[in-house]
Amino acid sequence: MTLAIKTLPCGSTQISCDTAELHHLLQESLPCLQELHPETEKRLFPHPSPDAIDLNQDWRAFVLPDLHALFQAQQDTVRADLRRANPTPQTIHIPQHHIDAWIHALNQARLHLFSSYGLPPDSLQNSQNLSNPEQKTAALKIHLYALIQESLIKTHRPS
Amino acid sequence: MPLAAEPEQKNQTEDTLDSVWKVVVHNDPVNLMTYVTYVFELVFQFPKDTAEKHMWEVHTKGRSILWSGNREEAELYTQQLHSHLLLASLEKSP
Repeated sequence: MTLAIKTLPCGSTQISCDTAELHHLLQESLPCLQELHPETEKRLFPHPSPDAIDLNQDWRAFVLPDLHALFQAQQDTVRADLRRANPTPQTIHIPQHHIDAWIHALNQARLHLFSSYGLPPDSLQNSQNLSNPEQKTAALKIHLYALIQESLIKTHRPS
Repeated sequence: MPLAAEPEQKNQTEDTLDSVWKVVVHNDPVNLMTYVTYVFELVFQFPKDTAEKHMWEVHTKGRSILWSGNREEAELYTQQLHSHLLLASLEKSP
């Protein structure tokens, strides 16, 4: 797979890929927020306090629905951009005002892959040592999305 | 004979609201260092070098205290950090 990420003069970003794989990979990697893997749920929606039960209960009631809605909106933005992508050669155009959603949705995907495949804590530094082929593939996807995420962060920095 | 003065009793809510709460960010193996720095700049309006200092503290020591103050603001900051998918928690100062 050849991947090129370019910032256009108007501030939007163009991702070009020589296969249709990226489009499908991204679609599959975004977690389904309505039916989360238990480990993904723990990671995307952690408790805010190790011991304040009242705070954690209030968090669940009042904060989690807002976080759910935010994460879903980010995914919806990314999926809409993927649907508009040119099929061959695959070019994904990310308008400048969508870049924030992409940065966060890519992070959702990375965290979901790490949690749901049960990757060991140091596995991203030493992914060649993973013996399970599914975990190895998950680690590769995490690294691929990290490349895209970093490129988008560089164009979108507040300072 | 005057009544003995009632001992002052602070109710639990007042004590909680007056207490100092810390916003702590914890290390995790997935979030990129560039991403963590970017979030600190966004949420706390830190200059880049301050954001990087806290990022390195999270990375090397496992955690960093990003802010401390009243509980209401601490909850707001924690919620913002969770919205950026950082592992953040609230801790009451002793």
